[in-house]
Amino acid sequence: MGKLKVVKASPLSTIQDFGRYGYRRYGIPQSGAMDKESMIFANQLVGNKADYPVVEFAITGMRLEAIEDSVISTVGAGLKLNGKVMNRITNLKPGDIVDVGTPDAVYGYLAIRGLIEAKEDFGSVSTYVMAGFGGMEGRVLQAEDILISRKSIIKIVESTPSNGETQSTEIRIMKGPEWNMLKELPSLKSFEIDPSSNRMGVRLKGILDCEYQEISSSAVIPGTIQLPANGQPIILMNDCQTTGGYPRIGKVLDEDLGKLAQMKSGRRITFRTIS
Amino acid sequence: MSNKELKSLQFNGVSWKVTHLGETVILLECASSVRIEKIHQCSRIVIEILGKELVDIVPAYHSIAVFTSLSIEDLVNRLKNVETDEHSTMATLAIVELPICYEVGLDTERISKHNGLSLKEMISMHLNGVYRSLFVGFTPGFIYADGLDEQLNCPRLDNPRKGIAAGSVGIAGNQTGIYSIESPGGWNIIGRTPVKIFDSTRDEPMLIGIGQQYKFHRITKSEFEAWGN
Repeated sequence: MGKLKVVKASPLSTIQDFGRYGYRRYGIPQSGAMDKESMIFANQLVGNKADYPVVEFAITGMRLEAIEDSVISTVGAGLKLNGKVMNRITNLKPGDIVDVGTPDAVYGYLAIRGLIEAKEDFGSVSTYVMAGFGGMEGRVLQAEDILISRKSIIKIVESTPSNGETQSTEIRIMKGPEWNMLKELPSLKSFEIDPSSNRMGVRLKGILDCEYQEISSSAVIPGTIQLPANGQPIILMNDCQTTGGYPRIGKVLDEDLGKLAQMKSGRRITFRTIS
Repeated sequence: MSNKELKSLQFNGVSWKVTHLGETVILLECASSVRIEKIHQCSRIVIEILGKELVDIVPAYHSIAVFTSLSIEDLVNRLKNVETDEHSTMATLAIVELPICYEVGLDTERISKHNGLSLKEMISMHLNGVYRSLFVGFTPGFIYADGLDEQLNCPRLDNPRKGIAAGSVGIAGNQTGIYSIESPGGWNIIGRTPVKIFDSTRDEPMLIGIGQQYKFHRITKSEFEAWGN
């Protein structure tokens, strides 16, 4: 159905789907696409089901060569076919060279028509590098890797583009178990995205005043806002650990996690508390 | 800052504070005086009562995170006043025996010096211990355990190492644990077991269940290196 060779990988290109659920009891993170909406959109463009695995990439783009006829799409990054700028979706013939650009925001997505072959661990093919789960042998993609997609039922859905960096910088949160430790409302301040943010967590610059107290290790999930002793919040993301000892003052709503993941470092966000 | 969503629950002889950890995750928290056995017993009851409505469950020292689409009210109603006979759900699991090699322990000197012990004394104390898995966290399959002799306590390393091999048996303060996969870590490494305590290809990935006890028997460095060949 589709076959491509990676000529040049992005340092953070991994195969991702919606992630693993039901295994946090074993300490297994959720993983999965950081921006679900863009992943779904990329799949829809090539007629795949919403939950089909895609290639997520960050920092730089990647170069691929078609080995067999393939149909691909990109969301969140530009696309060139044999040096010519293309739209989001492209039909490829053997020998065609595709250049996927550096992501416009933080994460870009590449979908291939059909079901990408990948290693499955705990019900998902999402790559979790630390434990070698999922994806291409549990690691990031590298040059010479072959991406193969199997035949599947294709359904073209009319979809409206909604990718790219969003203008609104307001992130909705709900109160967390240690909300009461706060001495000020998070909604009254603004925070800057720190460059050290990654698939495990988004670090924020800016201080939240709180009566700090370490808690005994307890569950955390993607979206949990931890407040370490230095007062600079950390929002846990898809690859986060399952337990932690910092106060959990709140949680970013699932719906806003993709938007947060796509915020470049240096951007400022504000919180709105939903009850 | 007040949190109006707070609810309370009486369940299995424990008073719980109930809050949302996420849209579909409810956190049950109890006083720190509640014993870990009780937490494990309550977790098993939650698993039984919720059946397919339970997506996941993460017990910790004084809390249980229940992953479910049930509302707090529904969960509270399902668990309210459920009581179980102290012994009926206490699984009597066999003690797992793990081989350990101290010669590949990175911090045996640090641990023994910190406690004023000879290496020999340190090893025999560690071999005498019976440890119990309390919960899993940090990385897939990483076991947090109790049962460490007070004289083997040792503070975390000032600078965490970038790579700790799977099977490394660690000590941090009075906590002990086993690294399940290669990962960074700041715990003192007393030795290593060649046995895979976590294996994603097994039906039951964890060799030691939560609440289960384990102990060590010593193997030599050559036995360690030849293990599994």
